[in-house]
Amino acid sequence: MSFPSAPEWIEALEAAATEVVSHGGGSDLPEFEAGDAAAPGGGAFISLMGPGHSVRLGVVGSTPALKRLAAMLTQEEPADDELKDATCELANVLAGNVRKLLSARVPELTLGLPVYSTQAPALERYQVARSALKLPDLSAELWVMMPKAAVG
Amino acid sequence: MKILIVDDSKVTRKFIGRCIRQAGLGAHDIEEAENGLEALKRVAELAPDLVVTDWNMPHMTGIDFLHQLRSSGSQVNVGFITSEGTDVMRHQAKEGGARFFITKPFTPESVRDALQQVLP
Repeated sequence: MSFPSAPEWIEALEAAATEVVSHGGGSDLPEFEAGDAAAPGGGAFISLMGPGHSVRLGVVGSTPALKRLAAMLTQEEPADDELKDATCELANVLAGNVRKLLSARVPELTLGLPVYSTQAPALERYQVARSALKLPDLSAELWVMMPKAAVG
Repeated sequence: MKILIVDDSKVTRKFIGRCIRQAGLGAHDIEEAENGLEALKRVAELAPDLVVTDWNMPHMTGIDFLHQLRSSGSQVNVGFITSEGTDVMRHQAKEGGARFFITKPFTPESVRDALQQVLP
């Protein structure tokens, strides 16, 4: 089977984010729209490696947005000094759920370790797809970064 | 009861510890390790009754940690709480002797249900 396309990765990432938000117990489920060109803040990125291909998934947002999303995992907002750790765990959970969603399509996927960044990574070598996650008073972005050589 | 929580995320270790305390299954001494290598040492030192471990960690995966534990002769109860939950991984965990397999995101209730199966 072929490696999933960027829109397919985004679709799986949106489904994983919806699972996290619904797990968080709020009454609202997220809506998604095309992401903005400007990076809205820091975030965490994690690689998924398959045979001959790889993709990086990210969750990016303002500090309050990332704290609220992370709190949906752990039922309490992380402290300032826990933001990096909590955001990396959020990326890890999203990627783990994406992996499960796509495991029939790409069974050999393996997860890397999440990395937090206060700035957008260099994007020249990537095709980037973004989805803006919208909840009341919360906006964050889900990123899919595919090496251009792999996009073909 | 001594319970060792192994996860490279401190906030997740804290949350798992909170879930265990909220489970209402009696008092537990909860210890932590942030990766499999550290956990192997901690198991030797502490002789815990249960190890709750992540899968995707630096230095050593959770399943490699479980295999090394068994190779060392330890028969401690082990359960996974992990972001990855493919059928293959569940099968590997079961084959390795894991007692439960919880995927993230998880709730205190899912931790309580798993502990009830393992703890006397």
